[in-house]
Amino acid sequence: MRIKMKNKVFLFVFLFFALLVSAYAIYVYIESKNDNTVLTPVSVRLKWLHQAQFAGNYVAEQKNYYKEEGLDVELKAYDYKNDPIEEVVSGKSDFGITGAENIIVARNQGKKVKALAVVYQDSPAVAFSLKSSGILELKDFVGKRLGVSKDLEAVIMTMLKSSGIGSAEVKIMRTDFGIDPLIKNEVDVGTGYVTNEVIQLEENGQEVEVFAPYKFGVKMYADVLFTTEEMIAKNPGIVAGFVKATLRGWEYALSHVDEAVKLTLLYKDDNNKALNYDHQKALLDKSVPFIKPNINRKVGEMNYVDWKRTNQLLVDSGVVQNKLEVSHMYTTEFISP
Amino acid sequence: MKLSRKIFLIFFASVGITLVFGVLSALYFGSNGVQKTFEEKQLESALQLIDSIDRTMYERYLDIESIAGLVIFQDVVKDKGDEKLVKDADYLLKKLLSTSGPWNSLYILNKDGEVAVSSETEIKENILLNTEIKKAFEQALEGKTYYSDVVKISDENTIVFSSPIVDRAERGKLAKGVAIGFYSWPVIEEIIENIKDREVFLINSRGVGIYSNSKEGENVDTHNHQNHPTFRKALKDKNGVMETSSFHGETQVLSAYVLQKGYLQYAGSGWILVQEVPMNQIFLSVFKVIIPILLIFLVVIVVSPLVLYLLVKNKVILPITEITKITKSYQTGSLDLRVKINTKDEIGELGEAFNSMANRLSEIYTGLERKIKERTENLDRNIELLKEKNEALDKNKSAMLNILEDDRLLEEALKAEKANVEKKVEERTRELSRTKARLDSSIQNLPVGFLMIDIFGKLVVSNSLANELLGGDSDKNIEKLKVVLKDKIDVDKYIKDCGHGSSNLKFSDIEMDGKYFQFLLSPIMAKEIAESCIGIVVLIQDITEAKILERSKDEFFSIASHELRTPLTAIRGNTSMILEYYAEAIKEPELRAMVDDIHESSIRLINIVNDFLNVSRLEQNRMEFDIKEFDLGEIIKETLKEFDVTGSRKKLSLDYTEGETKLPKVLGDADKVRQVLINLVGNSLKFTEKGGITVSTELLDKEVKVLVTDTGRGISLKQQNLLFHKFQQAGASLFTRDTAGGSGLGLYISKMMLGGMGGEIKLEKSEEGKGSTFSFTVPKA
Repeated sequence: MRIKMKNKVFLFVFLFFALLVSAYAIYVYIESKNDNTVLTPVSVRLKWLHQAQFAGNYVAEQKNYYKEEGLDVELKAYDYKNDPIEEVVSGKSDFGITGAENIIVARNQGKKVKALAVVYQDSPAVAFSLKSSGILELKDFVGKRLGVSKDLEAVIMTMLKSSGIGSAEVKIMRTDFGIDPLIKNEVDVGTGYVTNEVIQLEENGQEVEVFAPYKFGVKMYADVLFTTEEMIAKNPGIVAGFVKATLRGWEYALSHVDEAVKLTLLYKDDNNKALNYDHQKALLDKSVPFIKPNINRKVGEMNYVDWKRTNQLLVDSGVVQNKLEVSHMYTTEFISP
Repeated sequence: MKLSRKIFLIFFASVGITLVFGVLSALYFGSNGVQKTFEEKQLESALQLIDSIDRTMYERYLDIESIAGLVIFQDVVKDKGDEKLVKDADYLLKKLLSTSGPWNSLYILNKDGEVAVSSETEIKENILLNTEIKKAFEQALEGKTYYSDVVKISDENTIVFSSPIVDRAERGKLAKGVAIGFYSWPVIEEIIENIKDREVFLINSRGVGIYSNSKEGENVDTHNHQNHPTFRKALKDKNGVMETSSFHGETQVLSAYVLQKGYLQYAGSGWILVQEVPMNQIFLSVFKVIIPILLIFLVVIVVSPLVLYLLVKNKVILPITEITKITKSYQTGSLDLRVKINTKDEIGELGEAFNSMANRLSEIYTGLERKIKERTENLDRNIELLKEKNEALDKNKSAMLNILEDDRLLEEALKAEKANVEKKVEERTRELSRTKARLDSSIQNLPVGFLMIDIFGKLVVSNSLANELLGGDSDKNIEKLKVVLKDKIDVDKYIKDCGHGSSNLKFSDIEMDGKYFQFLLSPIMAKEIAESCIGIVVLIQDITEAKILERSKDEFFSIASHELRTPLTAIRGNTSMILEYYAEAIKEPELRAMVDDIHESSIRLINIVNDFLNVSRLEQNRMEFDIKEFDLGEIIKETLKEFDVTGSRKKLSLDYTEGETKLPKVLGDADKVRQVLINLVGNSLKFTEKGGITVSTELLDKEVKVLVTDTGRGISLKQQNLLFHKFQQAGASLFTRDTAGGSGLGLYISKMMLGGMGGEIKLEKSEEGKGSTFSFTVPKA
């Protein structure tokens, strides 16, 4: 191959420009990668096994809301061995979903976790009785056997207190979750979740009277999204994206319950079995007033007084001491308008 | 000026001019771009700031609604007389506040405006005296959650929130009371205070400054900015960025302005947030971005001409310099140097052209000399070649001489080898002839005549005895042999077939010239030589003497028997007559016994002699057979009648079992058959102690079989083999024959007789202690 001298100079100039053009191309490529292509892997430890309780997360994943925020989210079901708080604190998971009370307890233990949004604005924990028993009002509880687990005692007793019933006026039976104690007539009033035990009773064909604490002004946050303070400081963009997509998923799920339940069925239970549509539908239907109590409210919102109230319930029941300021336990900065 | 320097300057100038223009335009457009980015950032951060203020305000909005929704407060505003309830509510309200919480104070008022519970230790009975609070109360009592603009409460910037307390049982009805909260402004101030790198102004909807983090001008936050261009622009455009004068002076600033948007139910109070950054600061930050770019350009300006210069110098100037230097060296007469150029551009071409020119030159100068030298070398090479050829010839000559010498040696070796072989052959031959001589003399001295004839009928060997017997030389011997044996065998055919099928042949009693001979013929199968046979051997034995001996024995036997019978017959006849007619004379019992003995012995002797005569006749073929058809059954019956078994001591039975089918007539000598039967039955009676003898017949294809079965002592296997021979009885020993009282010739005679009639005798079966069965056959008629 023969290259003339003048061609050599031309070649040099050409190479120089080619270098510039390719550098620009690489720059554009990296920029585009940052914008869309490369998703940040993020994992979430759920509060419980896969079920419609996390429908918003499923919608956000299946409808690519997470992807639009540049996140590749892995939703991990609760598996008994992994407490969401421990998982997130140890860094094994980036986010978690847990009860607000757990956040307060964790903060009191010195763990630097922070709630990012409240999904269940009120606890679905309720007391329930069979209508056939004649217990139809709170004041009917007097002298009756009340089955309650340790976890739910504070909120249930506060509810009774709001109706002027003291703890000495009912026979408190320590029971586990489930509908068995009530059906076997071991107790007159059972306790559990309106999103689970009440549905089970109704599926059994029982007529149930439900006493929900929130209806008596007993305010207590339930499921909250959370992460660590470290994560917030280091990756505020990822946190904002996750919260935004999750709440967007919830808004969609609550206005498209049927579709949200179908998306929920894409996930399997702990035995890798398909979930039951009717049960999940009932669960989500019952969950709506807890997640969006007021049409004007947006999903996820939280405020100081309600955190304080939740905290106060724990203080009153002796779970924690009233030492910490609740405003450090949560942040509303990622709940974007 | 040198070429390289010229080129360098040209490059430097062109790159420099290009880059200077480039830098200038980059500075112009670049600074504009940087400023734009800067403005966008300012606006974005201002929006974020107002958002976080809005969100904080909204949270308080939710707070006051939550408080108003608490059941305990609903109850408190209803039943203010219940002291315990008030105490609980008071406790809760105080708990809901904490020193670090956002709320300054909270009040629960009943619908009459009376304070039911309060977070303040000193309950201010008539907080409604303050018009702002009163407004909040009234708004809430109408059923709306309310929030105020920034107001002064106890000389503090405060926002008043209020929310109606509605009985849960009477939703939709009038409020039973109002929850009022004072939100302490310093929380908002903190948010703004935290902004360090820019000045922030919060101005209310009337243009009055609410708060600022500005260090210049203490009271700037309370100034009225109603006429300030930024305020006006904000009212008009809501959000934006503009270059204008600062709120607190004449400094030119870049000002980002944002109108409060509110958040959901909290719609805001129309506040305007302004962020100011001095223009000189912008230029500074623009330069911060531009200067590195400028530096890079400067480096390029300096470095790129250098690089180009180095390239040109290496690729163009240096080769030219080299060519120049070499050309100069040619002037001194040496033409050895060449240009070393590897490139393929114009410089390369020049180098190549120069080199080929130099080559041509040196060829012209050095060509002639080299040619002479070459020719001389050629001559030398030819002489050398001739020399080599001579040497080669010499070598060939000596080689040929060597070959001749080799031939002679070979010949000698062959001779020696030949002599060796001859010697061995001689030895072998000698050995062979010795063997042959041995064989020859063995054959010659054989006591029998020996002839060996090949397959073509030629006599190979014959011994002197054979020659003597057959009377002469080879051909005659064979002719004679053929004649002598013509009755027995076709000798030619036997030779041709090589004895095939008959193998060894033996011919006895061949009469020749009055003598008797035995001829033995045998094919010679020489497997070592060939698969087939190679001829025949004939052995001739003179048996004349043996023949004579045998005949004289027979004659003696015959004559002796005849001569014995006559006197024996006389003795028997006389004793018989004595016993019959002179019984009175020999009353003496001893005498009588003696005569009886003589009589019996004579009868026995006559029988034995008869047997001998029979044997003799049979052996000499002088027995005559009167062959006729006869009834075998009749003969058997008659014969058996002759045996007087009833009178015998042994009480034996003797039966004839006739077959179901009538026996056909048989062909034979009836007397001989009878004699055979007598022999067999007699034997059986002789050797049977109890039981009996059964005679039966069996019809075969061509003959009739007669079976004689007894229950006698049987014959051992050893003795069975000796039956049917001369002088053999089936006794325990050869020396016990007398006990049986026979000649031992019975079975032998029977066999010979039946043989003469075409019948056969044999022992069917015999078992020691159980009995025997003999049988004979007679041909059917």
